[in-house]
Amino acid sequence: MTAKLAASRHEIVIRVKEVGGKLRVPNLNELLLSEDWTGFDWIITVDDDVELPDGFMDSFIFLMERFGLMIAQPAHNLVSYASFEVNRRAWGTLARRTGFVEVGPLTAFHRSIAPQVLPFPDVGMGHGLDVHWAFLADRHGWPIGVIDALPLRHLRPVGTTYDSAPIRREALRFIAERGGLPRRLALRTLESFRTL
Amino acid sequence: MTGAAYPGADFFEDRWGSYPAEGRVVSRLTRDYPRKAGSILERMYDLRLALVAPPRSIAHAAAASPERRRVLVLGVAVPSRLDWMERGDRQARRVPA
Repeated sequence: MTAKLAASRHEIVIRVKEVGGKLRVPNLNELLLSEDWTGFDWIITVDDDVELPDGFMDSFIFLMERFGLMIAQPAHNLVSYASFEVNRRAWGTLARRTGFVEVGPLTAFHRSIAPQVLPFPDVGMGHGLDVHWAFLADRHGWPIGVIDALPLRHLRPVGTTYDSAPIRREALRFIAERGGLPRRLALRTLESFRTL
Repeated sequence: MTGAAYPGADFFEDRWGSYPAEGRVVSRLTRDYPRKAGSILERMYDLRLALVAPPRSIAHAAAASPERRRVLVLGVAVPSRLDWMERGDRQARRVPA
């Protein structure tokens, strides 16, 4: 997978580490803080259990910028393990502006909003962060969305490598403290893009 | 109803399985991944997308965009895991695990 991410005309810096004894977010923050991350145009987090389409990176960067998205993810394809229907690929669209972008399996942050969401608040596996991003996007008018033209395949169901009950409690506590957007407002397509 | 007043519980009601229960036909068909219907539908979606914008045109447009970006990719690898792909294949073929 890293080969597909590195195959790009852009300058790609990839930092990967094994999970070790830590949860996902502390690991990502450790990687992030080992770099001068403020000097990057895009910061992308990715899980290791995804299949990406060929030529992914260049088209992904192009489409995010073409449609002005500040937080974005590739859509899940139709046989991908996904949590929400709004993040699954839609019929005949290149991209969509949505009320919600998932915390994984692959999420991109534009430099314009990165200082407001990075480093990640320490919420273990990261669940609840995306509900908070939806809240921030709604409050600040950030365009966030899904790139349907480059659907990925998430190979593993969500939450199968850890006990989800304490993770869920932590997520709910985080949302209650920091703010979240209700499901009925977040899980919506706000605009569909059908032409380049 | 945003911010601290929103408890967030509704977001997690059906997130913790493998699929949402949002009732769309595609979700129901692809629920027991990777069933055959899923890959057939996937091809139909690809064809429809190709009518909107052929993948080659997207790649050409991406290559023609003048700006070269700096991109930082962060990943966390999980060294051991259940083999979900294998499990899914067995289910699809109805072979006992």
